[in-house]
Amino acid sequence: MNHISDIQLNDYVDNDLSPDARAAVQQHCAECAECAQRVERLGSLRLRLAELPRSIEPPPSIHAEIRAQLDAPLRIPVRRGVSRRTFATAAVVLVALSSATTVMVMRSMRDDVASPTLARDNVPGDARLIAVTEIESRYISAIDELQRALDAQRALLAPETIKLVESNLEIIDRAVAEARNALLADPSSAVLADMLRAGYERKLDVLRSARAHTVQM
Amino acid sequence: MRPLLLALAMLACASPVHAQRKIREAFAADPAGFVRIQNIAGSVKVTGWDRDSITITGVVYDTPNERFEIMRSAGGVKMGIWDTTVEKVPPSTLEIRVPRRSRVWVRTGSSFIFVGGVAGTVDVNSIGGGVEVTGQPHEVFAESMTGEVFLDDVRASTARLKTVTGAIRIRGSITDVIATSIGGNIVVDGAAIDRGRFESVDGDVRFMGDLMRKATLDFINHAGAVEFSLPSNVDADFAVSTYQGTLQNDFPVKQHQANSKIKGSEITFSLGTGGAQVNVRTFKGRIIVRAGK
Repeated sequence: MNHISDIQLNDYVDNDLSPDARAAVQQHCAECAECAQRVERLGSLRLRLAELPRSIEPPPSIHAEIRAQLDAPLRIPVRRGVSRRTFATAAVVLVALSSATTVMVMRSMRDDVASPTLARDNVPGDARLIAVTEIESRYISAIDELQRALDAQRALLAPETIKLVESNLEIIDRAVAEARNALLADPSSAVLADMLRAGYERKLDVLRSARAHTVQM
Repeated sequence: MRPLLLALAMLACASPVHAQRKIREAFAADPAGFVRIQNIAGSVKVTGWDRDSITITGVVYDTPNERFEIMRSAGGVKMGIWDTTVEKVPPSTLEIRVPRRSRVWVRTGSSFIFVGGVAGTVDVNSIGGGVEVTGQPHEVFAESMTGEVFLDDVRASTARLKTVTGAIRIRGSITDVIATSIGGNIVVDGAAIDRGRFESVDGDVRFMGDLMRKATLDFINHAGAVEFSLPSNVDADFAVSTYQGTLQNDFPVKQHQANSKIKGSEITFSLGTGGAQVNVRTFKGRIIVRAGK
């Protein structure tokens, strides 16, 4: 038995089908337990989504709290029983992994990427590394996920679009590398932390935009 | 003669056949329903009107694989063609009139998009085409990779604008704006904005005109400049931070170095009696505050 496509089922649940198409889906679901179950799941999901607030206003104090956290001097949490040396080594490994992930992510679209990397001879103190890794850890997995999704659909994009995306990711990478190195040298700077975050946000923007053009109506 | 005929036949087989069609459709529509339009090349013009009906006129090209289709449903209408298997699609021109409160969604490849007179949400997205929105949409989401995004005298509660290399221009009255680009310039020209965030990486960000007294505006740029052309009687409080950039302030006011411990500059100053809060952050982009008349 041919099952009903996800798109058609979603349109059915969203009440976007013509009367004829709607009747056909209903008839199929009456005979197909699997599709009927999928409709039920989608319907239930739709109801739960409808119950969610359309937007959530952050509490008024949030900006002040964030600003206070950014402006506060960095404290290095050292757990009992773990030496600072061990901690520093772990931090270096974390940064190396994070950088390697970035390199792998970017290389999957282009091989000649100038990715933000640490100069091993100048590995700074653990506090500096923490300032950078705290920011990067929020973005790497999202970038990785989007990149994989985009790679899977890249045949749907024109070659010039892929080229545009790649060249602009390079521009962003250069900006991220500059902000990153500056933050390593000056980890207490809220401005540099903002610049690094902004760089990663723009990277996500470009990947999301490119991905949006691979999705059918 | 035979080789010539053979060559012509081969050429005919190699080139995709695009069938041109004139479209002229009209039908009743939900006054606040959705209108979803896809068009690869050409232009899409959507205009809101005070009737509960939709009219579609224009010239479209069907490809060997897909036809331009109009699909009506309970909640609205979808129309378009999106054949990514064809390299060069001839430009289709679409002119669509929709009920004013419609929720309009347009996606194009290189097509120019115009949306005017729509009061519902406008969500437009192009890869290489320009985007122009005018009127009083409730919310605007406009995005183009290389084309210009232009809000022309728009009155809206929310605007989210994005480009990669295309410019962004904003005129009108908008409560909450976020405009971001990688290499495109962002120009705010005579716009009344309560809350705004304008971010670029390489492009310049320019703000021209007066500031709303209670506005909060953030400008973030990496290498591009952030420039203000403000009236000489403006009331605003500036907080400027730059790592390697410079600040040029034409207003004769006292500036305060906010934090001497960090590298770079953190400078605050007030213009007039203070009022609008303007926060500027750049990595190496220069910051210029010009005093107009």
